[in-house]
Amino acid sequence: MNIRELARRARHVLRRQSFDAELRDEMQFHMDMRAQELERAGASPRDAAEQARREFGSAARLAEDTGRAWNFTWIEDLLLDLRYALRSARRSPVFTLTVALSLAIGIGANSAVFTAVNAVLVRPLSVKEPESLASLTVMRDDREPVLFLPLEFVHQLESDAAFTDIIGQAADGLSFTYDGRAERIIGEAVTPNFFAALGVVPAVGRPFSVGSGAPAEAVLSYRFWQRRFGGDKSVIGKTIQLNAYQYTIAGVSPPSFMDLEQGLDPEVRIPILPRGSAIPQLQITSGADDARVLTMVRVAQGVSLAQAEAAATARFSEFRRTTANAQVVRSTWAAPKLARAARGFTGNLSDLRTPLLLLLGLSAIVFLAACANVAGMLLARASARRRELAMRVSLGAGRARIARQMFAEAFLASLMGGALAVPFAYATARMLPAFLPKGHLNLSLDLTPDARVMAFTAALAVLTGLIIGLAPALRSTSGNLTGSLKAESSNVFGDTRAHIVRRILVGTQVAFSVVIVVVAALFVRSLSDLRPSDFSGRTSQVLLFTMKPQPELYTKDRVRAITSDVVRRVSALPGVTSAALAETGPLSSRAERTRVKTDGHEQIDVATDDITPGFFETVGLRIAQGRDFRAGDAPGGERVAIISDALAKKFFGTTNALGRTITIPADAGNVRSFQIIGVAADVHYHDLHAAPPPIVWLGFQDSAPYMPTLHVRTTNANSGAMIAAIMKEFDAVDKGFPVFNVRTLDDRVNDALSSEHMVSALASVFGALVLLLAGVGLYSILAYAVARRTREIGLRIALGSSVRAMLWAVASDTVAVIVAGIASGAVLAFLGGTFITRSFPGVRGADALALGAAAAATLVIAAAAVTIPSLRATRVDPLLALRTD
Amino acid sequence: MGTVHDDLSADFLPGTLYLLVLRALTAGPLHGYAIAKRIKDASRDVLAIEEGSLYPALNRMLVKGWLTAEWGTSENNRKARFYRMTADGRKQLERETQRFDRTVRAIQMVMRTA
Repeated sequence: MNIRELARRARHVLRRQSFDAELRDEMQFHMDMRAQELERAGASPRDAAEQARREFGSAARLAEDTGRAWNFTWIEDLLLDLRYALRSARRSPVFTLTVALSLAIGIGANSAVFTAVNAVLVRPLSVKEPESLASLTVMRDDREPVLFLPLEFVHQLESDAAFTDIIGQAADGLSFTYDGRAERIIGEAVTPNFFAALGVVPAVGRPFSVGSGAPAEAVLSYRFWQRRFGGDKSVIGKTIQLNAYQYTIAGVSPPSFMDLEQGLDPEVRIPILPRGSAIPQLQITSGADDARVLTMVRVAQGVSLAQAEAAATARFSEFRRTTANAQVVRSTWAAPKLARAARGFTGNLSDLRTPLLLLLGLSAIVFLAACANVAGMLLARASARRRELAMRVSLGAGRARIARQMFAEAFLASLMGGALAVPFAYATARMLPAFLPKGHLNLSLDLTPDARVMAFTAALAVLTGLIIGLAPALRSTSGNLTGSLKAESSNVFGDTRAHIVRRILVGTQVAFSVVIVVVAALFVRSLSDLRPSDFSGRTSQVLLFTMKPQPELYTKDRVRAITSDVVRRVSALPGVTSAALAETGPLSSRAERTRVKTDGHEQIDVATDDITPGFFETVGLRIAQGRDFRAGDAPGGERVAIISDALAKKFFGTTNALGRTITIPADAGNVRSFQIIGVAADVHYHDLHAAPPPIVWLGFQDSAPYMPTLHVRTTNANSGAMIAAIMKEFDAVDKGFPVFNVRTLDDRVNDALSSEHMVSALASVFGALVLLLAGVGLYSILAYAVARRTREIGLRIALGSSVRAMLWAVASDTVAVIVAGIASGAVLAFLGGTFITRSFPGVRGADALALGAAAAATLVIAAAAVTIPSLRATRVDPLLALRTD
Repeated sequence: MGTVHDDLSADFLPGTLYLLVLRALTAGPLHGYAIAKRIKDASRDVLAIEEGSLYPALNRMLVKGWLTAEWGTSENNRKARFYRMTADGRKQLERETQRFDRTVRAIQMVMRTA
């Protein structure tokens, strides 16, 4: 069919209506002419018309035939192919279901992982023109970026023509008081242009009022509005209390928008008001020049990123010269840096990148294994249908026509698989947030499948159809099809060519199974490898409660008083062994660092924490030398510190560290000296993947607790009654500050291993699925072979063949394939293991143990898949078998 | 496109109806009835056809671009559709004629010698 012919057919579509009428006229004319001729020869008008009609034939049928001449026959053929495929699918429902489920696994695994990859690594912010957004940071001279920039500088940028919008935001925990105890929410102070500049239209209500004298207004997040107010629209205009201040609810942000900071979904947004109209109670909205914000800019049209960066640099030099902000003047901040930020600030979720890419790789292997499985099954069926196909060819069906039929069947299968994959993917993707670490910021991800995920799934389904349709289509059009009318195949895998292809397909599946099972094994093992032995006792019996007495509401003395009150009361509870505070505590989502110096040594950067007496005992850490803090180590008293063994070795070598002095820088260039009273055993305080760091513990002598965590060792496991009893003590002390993030130390350990948990869980599921697929593949091929060779088997048994010989005859064909598959899988897994050890510290590579375990698991599945049909072969009744066919 | 199949007559060689139509149109444009009549007359009524089956064939030839059609007035002043052979059609006629001659000669040879 050439292009001109196609064009003529297409034109016909446009004039179909008139065409039918004209054809009727034309045919009528034909009959009239014939009738006239007959009349001239002497027939009566009536007879003439009758005869003309008869000679012409059925006008209706002929009109239909004529119309068909113009149709796009391939579309009709396609529909016919699909209908035929559907019919043959219905004829063998078990086969169809197996194929569809296999593909649903292959496609679904990919869609699920892609949903997460899309949410974390691909999808731009749902704001107006995200591609023109850029994040503005300032590089320190040590190349570490400063993310939060002084508000004063941000305001100065607003007048620069290189930028159309300057958006600042700073999230912080706020006390939201409703009924009863204050609840901690994440509030985000934003520049008042926030909603307008981003083109984010509130789902309900309106954005903040802008301009001087604007009232204190708040915009709720959609999810907070749903959770706390039940989605009640009448909350607009009502008053809520944030910390101690009244805000009026102006609107609710749309569900599609979470935040400029990836992973964050602040419950409330409030405007950073201009100085003068500012709200004094909230530090961040005070309008003070030293307040700092994360800064996003929209680069003006026609201005390149480099030009905009140059403009920001000029402004920054000016700012540094003129500002009264001492911190900036003293700082080592060097140059502003602009980076495209269509996805927003990505720092919160950057740790997910490597595990997600690994999972994407694994899911691709699952996909290929599923395709190999289904291609093998379709190929087996194509072989089984060779007689039918040969018959059709000999009756005149074109080879292209047959190949198309094979493709139609493959596409039908992939469509069914794709449709089944969607709910599977959705359910799997919904499991992913469970692996996100929980901390003082609750990370959240929008994992509802969007158009991109749908398009990905659809594209995958089409690709699947092409891949799995290829082998049977080639097979059905290959040379000696007609020969198969006579010949019978002589081995398990059918005739020679299909034999080789299907061996490769099954071997590939086995190899892929080994690879995925090895990866799963590596990560499962890493979970126990990386689990710290630093904490004695049960980590699940240490309960954690984080408190946030707002500095705007509580004086430092009041915070000291209530926190020590809480510790005292909780320690006295039955079932509580001990209780203590730490500003962060081990494996917290927050980490504090400081610089330490001692005589005769360079200043070094160390981890630090403030704790109260009894902390080491409570979390199960050991003081190797010296003593713990005690009540007497109070503010104003002699400053004391406990250091970790790693720091003691670094500073003092083998000599005794007790009684020595270390200095820590304080404000305005001063230093404070601390006497070492204890040396604690090393502990993985922040990162389980690295060696225990040097640590300094201080005793809240110079600072009051800011957002401390109460650590409580209990005598029984994490129980609701215990938590309720402790919460009651908080209420008895003071209801004005939020208590949140209630968890166990064990939860924190698991959070610290969240990547490993995520990969090992998904890899285990993938491994099980791929093993299952390989088993099904092997089983179906053998079962089919046994069914086809019933006659031969019967004959052999009749001739006295032993059961063992029979078993071997059937199974031997697959043994080589399984062994080759395991061997090549082991090689691939070994290579993959070296990649994994490079990207994931703490995960050991594929060694003999991991490879052996994976090979054993694969062998067990393969043996089961081979044994069942082989045993069935031994039970063939020779007489029955010889009589069939 | 696959092989051509016509309802003209079970005994017809494939493609023969196209040949006859093209042959009938060498002298100039004709409407459907005239084409049918010319085929019948020229074969001295040997090729008795179901006349209506001419129309699917004519339309297939339109699709292939061997013919064009336009409305005109018949000899008895009625509106009629006239078919005209295109350059492609003429080429097709030459090809078909040669093929037909070869086939007929082959058959005659068989008939004489067998």
